[in-house]
Amino acid sequence: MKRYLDMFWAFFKVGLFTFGGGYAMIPIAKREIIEKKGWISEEQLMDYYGIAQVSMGIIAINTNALAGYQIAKKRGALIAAFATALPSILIITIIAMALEGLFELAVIANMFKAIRVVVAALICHTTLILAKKGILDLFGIVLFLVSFIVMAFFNVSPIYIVLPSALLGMVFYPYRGGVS
Amino acid sequence: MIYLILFVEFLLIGTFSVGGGLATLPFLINLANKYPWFDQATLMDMVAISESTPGPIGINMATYAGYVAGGIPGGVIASVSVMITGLLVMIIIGKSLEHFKSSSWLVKVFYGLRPTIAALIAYAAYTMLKTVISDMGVETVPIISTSVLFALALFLIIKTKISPILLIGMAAMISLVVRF
Repeated sequence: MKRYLDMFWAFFKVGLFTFGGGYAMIPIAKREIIEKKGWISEEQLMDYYGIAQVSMGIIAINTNALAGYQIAKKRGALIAAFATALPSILIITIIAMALEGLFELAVIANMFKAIRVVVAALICHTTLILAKKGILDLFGIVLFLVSFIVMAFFNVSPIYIVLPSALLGMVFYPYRGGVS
Repeated sequence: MIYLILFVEFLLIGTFSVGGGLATLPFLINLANKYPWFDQATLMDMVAISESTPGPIGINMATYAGYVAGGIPGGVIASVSVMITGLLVMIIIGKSLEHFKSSSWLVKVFYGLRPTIAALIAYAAYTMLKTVISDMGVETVPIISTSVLFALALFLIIKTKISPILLIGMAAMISLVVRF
């Protein structure tokens, strides 16, 4: 039992001190899970992070679930995942409750209008980065354009786009052997 | 009833979103189109708050969207549902990690997924830009302040790799003296 509580607390701290998720979590996970506890090795953590990146769902949660599984099997995976998510759930619920109604205030409304401008800029930048990394050839250009057009102009849910893209990738993959 | 809808929708989001960070955003945009829970502007406020509070962005966004749709239980249900598929997959992979690491089909799958992941975020960027433009309206002052802030934000992101939190804080400060 003590071990489970220990795990819960360690992963709770990882969730609490990570801003932004994904790679931002690695240094904190290294401190709490590897250096303080020695539960897994750094190579293992990076392996888990790599696998989580190519899996569905939330990268930070999946990375920690794999670490938790390594430490204490299924129960470990569950504890690690929920402990990582709990600070988010608590903090966001409190903020959402506090902000309710405040948006009617002119100062707050104006503030969030300004914030939306930089959020749009951030997402535009993310798009540029992902497009540069992800669109490598004509296949990529066509897939990108078709996916974008059906979502933006035909209101097709992204749910219906992901699986066909993965299948098309398998069919049209042009390289033989180990190009990554 | 709303809890059941939230459970199913967020289970699907957790199943089909790949790539981490804002990967769930295009799916949430789709929810905003489908249900009367929140609009695109509110979604952008959620992005800003999720970026500037601790915890994985995907969980923060799920808690916030779930809360707006169905109060505290809604937030909890959405955050838990979005983790389920990833968690199941991690538990299965946890058993056969070595086998998974060496699988070559993954490279092929991502050959198809990467352009689509870029398209998903491009779709999010497109929607967010439309929201900013509708926020801006037709008056001179908001048009100028919005354009200047957008250009400044994009410049800072590309040239200085400024953190999103700092950028959001900066926009909030500017909003106290400039009308948007």
